[in-house]
Amino acid sequence: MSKLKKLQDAGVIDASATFDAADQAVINSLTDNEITALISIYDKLPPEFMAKHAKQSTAKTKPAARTIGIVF
Amino acid sequence: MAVQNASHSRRLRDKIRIARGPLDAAAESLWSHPRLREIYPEFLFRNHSVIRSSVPLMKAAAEECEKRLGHEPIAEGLLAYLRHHIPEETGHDGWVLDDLEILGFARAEVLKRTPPPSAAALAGAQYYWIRHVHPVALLGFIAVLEGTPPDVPFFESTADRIGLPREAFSNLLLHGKLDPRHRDDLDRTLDALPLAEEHHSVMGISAFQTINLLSRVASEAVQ
Repeated sequence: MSKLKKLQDAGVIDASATFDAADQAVINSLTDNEITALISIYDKLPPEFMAKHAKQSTAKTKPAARTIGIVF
Repeated sequence: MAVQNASHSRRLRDKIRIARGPLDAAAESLWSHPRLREIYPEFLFRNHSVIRSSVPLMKAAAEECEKRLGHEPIAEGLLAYLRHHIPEETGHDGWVLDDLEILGFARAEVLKRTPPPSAAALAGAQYYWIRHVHPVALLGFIAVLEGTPPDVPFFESTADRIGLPREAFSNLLLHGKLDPRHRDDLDRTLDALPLAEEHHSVMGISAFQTINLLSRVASEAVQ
């Protein structure tokens, strides 16, 4: 089973979400421990945890508004 | 290009990019909130609750690196990064207290207040990863916090829009100037470190957990 499918089955990624090949490759490169971690914290997260269409979403959103402002 | 062939920094940044949805949503909700003027001091308090742990976390990671010198190839480069970065971050928690003071909140009163458990969980998780797993985990935390530096014109105009003095935004404005360089320093460090797959994995888990808990810290400010 692909990593993407595991995350979809666990509800971390909406089943209808689509990712381009590059993002699918990133998701499928996650280690089993990273997948387990994502599924483990999912109950505290909204359904959009894995940003749908991440690249498009990033491009459309103003950089300023993407700054949470809690800094290091 | 196969993901495993991408640079170390690119691999971490890609993981953060695909997972940062809730953080972006929390940011939109916070900075466009109709009562931002009222919420802003609470946001600053929460910011302080997190930023006060920056230097102590790096010191904890440096201690763990020192124990690994001579045993792990990654320890020397990671320790050098931390030793360089600790003085750069020292005193920044005071900037947040300065901002709160301008808004009428005395330092002593702020420091007496109990921090939110979500902030304790955010920093506390890093102590666990550093002490019990591997200090490289902290780089996932730093990559998230320094990954999207505050936009200076945006926060200047936000201060003007909600009728607060720009001086009460000094922490954000100063980090907006510093963090692009800090982000690039981290990327250069990541790319130079002899990272193995297990290091990538623990940094990724740390980054995912940071996104989760940081979103919660910020979201609670608007509730």
